[in-house]
Amino acid sequence: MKTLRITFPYMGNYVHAFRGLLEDLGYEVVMPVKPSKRTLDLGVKYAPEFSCLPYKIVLGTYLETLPKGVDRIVTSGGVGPCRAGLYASLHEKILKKLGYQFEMIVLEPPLVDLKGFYKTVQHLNYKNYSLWYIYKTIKRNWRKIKALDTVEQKALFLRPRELTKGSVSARYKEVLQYIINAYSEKEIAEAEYEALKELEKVPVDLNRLVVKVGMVGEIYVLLEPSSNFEIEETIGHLGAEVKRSMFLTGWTRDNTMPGKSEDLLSVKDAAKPYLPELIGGHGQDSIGNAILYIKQGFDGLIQLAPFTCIPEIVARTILTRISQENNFPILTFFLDEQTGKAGMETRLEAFIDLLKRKKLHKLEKAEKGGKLNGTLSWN
Amino acid sequence: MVNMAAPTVGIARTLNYYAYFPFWSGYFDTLGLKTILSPPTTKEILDQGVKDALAEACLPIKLFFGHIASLKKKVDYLFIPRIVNLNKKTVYCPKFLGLPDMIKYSYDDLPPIIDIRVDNRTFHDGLLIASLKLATKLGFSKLKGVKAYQEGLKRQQLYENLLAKGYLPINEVNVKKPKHFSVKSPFKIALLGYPYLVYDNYINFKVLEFFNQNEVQILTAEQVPLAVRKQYAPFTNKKRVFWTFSDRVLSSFQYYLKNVPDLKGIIHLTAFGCGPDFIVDRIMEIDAGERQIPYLTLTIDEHTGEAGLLTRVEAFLDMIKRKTRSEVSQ
Repeated sequence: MKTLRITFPYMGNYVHAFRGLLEDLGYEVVMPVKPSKRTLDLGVKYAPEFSCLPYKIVLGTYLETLPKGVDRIVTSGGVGPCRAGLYASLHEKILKKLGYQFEMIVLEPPLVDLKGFYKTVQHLNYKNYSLWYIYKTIKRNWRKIKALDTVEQKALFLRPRELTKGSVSARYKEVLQYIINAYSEKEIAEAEYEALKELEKVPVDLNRLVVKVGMVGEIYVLLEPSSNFEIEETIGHLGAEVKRSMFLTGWTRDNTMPGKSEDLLSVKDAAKPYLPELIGGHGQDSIGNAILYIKQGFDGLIQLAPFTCIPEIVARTILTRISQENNFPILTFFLDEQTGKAGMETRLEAFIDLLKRKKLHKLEKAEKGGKLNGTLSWN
Repeated sequence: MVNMAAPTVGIARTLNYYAYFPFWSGYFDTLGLKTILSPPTTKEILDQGVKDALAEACLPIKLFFGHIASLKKKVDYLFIPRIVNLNKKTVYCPKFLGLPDMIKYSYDDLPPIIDIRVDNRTFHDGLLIASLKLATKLGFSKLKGVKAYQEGLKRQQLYENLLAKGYLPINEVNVKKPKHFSVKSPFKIALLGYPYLVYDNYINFKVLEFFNQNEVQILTAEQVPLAVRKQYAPFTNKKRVFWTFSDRVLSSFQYYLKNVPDLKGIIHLTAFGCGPDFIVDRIMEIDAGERQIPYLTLTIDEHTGEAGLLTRVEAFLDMIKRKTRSEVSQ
């Protein structure tokens, strides 16, 4: 049987887990290249003008990989009302009009249509591996995703505390390879352990006072650093710790939430008083997570959204009030192909600066006469 | 006798207005409540909306904010129902789903908002139940609620029949004295877009009147009844679009494409920043192109000028006339 060539959209470090999964299913994987200026330019050229940034980047990615020879594209679907659920169909229409021949396979959420999901999985499994084998390979690669998330979170924690600027990012890039190269669950666990250990060797000042910034918004611009100009790294270097509300594994959230009953509020419940309706995308999550971050004593919030993303526009409108009522600074970026890194950095600098002043002021008030514990890093 | 103390209910003359006002007018009339509409869109209303709404919001949201701002001091209640689903299949664009919340958290001096949720997919939020709930909340009996609901349905049906006949509700939805019909002409253009753009004569620079003057017959999405539209799958045979108004535009587009042999062209009227429309627009552009039907996208924003817009429409009509002439002479 001919070995089929397959590709998929680029999304953060997770591509390495997707690759492993598809290789185990007997495919030759055509790896999508990390999105660059060229990727976006290609996407902008062929995408509708008002499509959102993720749509353009993913289209650009396909346009870069399809000329290498691809039989199948596999991607995610969705049932709305967020537009992303229709992206695959429209990507297919546009790419086929451009003359490319391939098969688009869309994985719809299994909870909505379990039978359909099973059929798609069986279709993907063209070499007819046993269900047990598929289960094992999914389990193994899910473990890999977890490891990737854990190590990334460690880097987010360490970055604002590093003694030499850039040392965490440099080390992080290296140790990521341990996990990428690991295959079995045992190897992945060992790689994760080693990676964390290595990261911890980077000299840091744990007593340094850093501000904590929550990050909410639309999933693609949150998870794919090239779509947000590596905002997390920038924030880290400005001396702030980022807590991203979304990882591919919901697992992280369970591990970061304190056990107090008040804090066990779910994201949805937290959002309800302000936005009782599921509005598609991650609009309701953005609201809910904002409330949770406030309860957990965060210093500020950043919302990332593609330009014209309606769920995030609804969320932003409500976040303005939440910000006022709680005296909680919130900064929103609506990202499109016109967004520039320099402009974004300037706004971030001012924002983090404001958070630091606020925190210092609060601490001084709390410890009137007493000695401040730690020093605030102004970098 | 008119009860002077009867509370007034404010309804914005945009978004859902052009689609569902007959139902709500029948409903509130039967309850004896007075509905007060915001005036037809003006420059002031639009400017106010642009000022009050988020800069990144789409034009229709800004427009809605402007209409609410013009109403809020004049009424006892603001009626902003959370319409999620009516046809059991598609939902409304996310902005409709978050509409009452957006308004609630943007203005400080608001009268109470009636934000009743309507979702015909679930029993407890269906239109009938929602109508009953609202009636009892306003202090009426359930029986009165049922009567109001029935009157609403009656008027809505009347309205949809008028639409199917070619009635165009320009700036005003009035089932008792319908006024606007498109001219009958062999020169037929489908003007597709959401009702709050197509029928709002300020926002679209009176493009409907322009067509009437030029003896062009206009076909709109609302003129194809739901029962007919249902048979036209609008997407690549795999999925329908999720949103009710988008589904309406796409399925009527498919209907016109296949059933009106003398269709001269298609114009898609869309608003700047409209989320769903980039999908709708590209599908129609590709499909119309395959059938060699002239296709024009008109995007409106708060800076669009009348001359610019109508010039493009004129050029489009000229192009079609030239094309028709050369086809005839061949």
